[in-house]
Amino acid sequence: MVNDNEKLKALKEEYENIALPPELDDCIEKAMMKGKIEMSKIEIKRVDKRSNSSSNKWLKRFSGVAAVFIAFTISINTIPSFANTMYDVPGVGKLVQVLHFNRGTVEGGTVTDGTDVGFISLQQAKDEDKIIINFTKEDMPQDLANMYNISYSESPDTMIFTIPGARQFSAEKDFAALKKSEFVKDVYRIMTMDDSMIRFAVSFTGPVQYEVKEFKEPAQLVVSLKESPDTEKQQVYSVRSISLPYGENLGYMEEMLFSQEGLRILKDQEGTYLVEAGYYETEEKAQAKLQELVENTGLKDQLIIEQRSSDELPQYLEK
Amino acid sequence: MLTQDTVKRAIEGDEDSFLALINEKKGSMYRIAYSYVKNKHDALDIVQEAVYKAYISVAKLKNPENFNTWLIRIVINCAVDYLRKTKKIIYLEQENLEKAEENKNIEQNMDLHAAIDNLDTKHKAVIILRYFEDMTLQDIAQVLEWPVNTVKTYLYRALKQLKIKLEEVELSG
Repeated sequence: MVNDNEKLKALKEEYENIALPPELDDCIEKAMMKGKIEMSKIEIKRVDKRSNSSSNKWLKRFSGVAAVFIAFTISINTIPSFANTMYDVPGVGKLVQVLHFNRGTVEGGTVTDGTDVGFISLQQAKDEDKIIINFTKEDMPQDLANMYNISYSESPDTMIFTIPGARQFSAEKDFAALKKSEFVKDVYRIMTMDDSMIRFAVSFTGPVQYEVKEFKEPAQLVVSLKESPDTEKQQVYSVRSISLPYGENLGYMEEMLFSQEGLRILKDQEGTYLVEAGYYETEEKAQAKLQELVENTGLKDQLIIEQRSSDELPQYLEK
Repeated sequence: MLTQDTVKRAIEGDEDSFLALINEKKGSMYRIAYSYVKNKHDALDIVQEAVYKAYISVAKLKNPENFNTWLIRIVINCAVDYLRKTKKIIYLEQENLEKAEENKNIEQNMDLHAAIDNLDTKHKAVIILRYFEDMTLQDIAQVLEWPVNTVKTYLYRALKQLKIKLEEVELSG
């Protein structure tokens, strides 16, 4: 018995000599980061739920969002490390650039591969909504934003995000939450033949004023949306493909029309998709474009002209 | 020594307090995990999972005085989960074999060592907590969420099993 006790003691000594690896601290830090991300997601859901349950909407929204802001302002001034923790709050990192663009395309970010468009959250304030796009890799927030390309086009007002070098799109689950914004009509993923590229579109309920900011540490793209003074609706003539289901055919169609300047993939009213080569103010111009495209591609039965109002989503059309 | 106040602050969401508590217990967490999987890589995975789980649920901890036993419970649960999920063959890392060879008591220790490794997860937990982590029976009862008497029974059975195994080794050797 005494002997056994000594053996146990020797074993205990051995146990205590199990060396703590240098990676241990790093591993604890990673675990906490992962926890923070998880908690921020839970927090977003809670705020969403609150602001949704009608009656005293404004007050509830205030207590949710503003309280977070107040707490945040206090914390960021007192605890430096706190700044890294609030991934759902836009602009906690360092500002990389403010992107001004009035219709058209902007690009930015850093070349990466295998990242994940990890999660997207919506933050609503009195008359401004913010869409916050977060980049992660293996659940860890990234320091630098992925390469991105954002284009804004009208008729219908749509912002298309293209993220090359991203292979995962965990944020797809957050689409429903984004639709809570009064500015957002729909959010949808756009198919791509490139498996290292993520694309998605946000279509707006009308013209919006927007501004995009890129942040680092953590990497975020923050899109601010404000109401835009109403512009007059107009009729446009769209040169487009017939409606296609989400899938390869859409990709082939896009490739056939690749050289077109106004090329975009849109979702129609029925939830199927189409490739639009461009839209024009007059039917003649649209006809001319259609002729040219049919001659160049031979896609006689798949290309059509659709007349629609600038605030309408394209219709479901088949030949 | 960290106070109950630190635990209270961690429960309220103060991150620095949480990290301080984890740092205080990281040695125990890692060694317990290591005792189950016997290699650095898996032990780190277990610690990471445990810290993550602790982080997201610390707000729900009702009694601050139970922080340590609560944390150890999470580690053990994570280790047992990990073993069940991976069903990995437990092996000794080369560096540890080398270290063990330097140990003069290697022969007699290796017997008991092997015997402890052969215990099932519950009996192993009791031995680790009682003899390596020097925890009281009451604390072990809290960690494992068993009555104290059950802990005693397991401890007794574990010791008995170890002795039996030791004898077997002696007989065959």
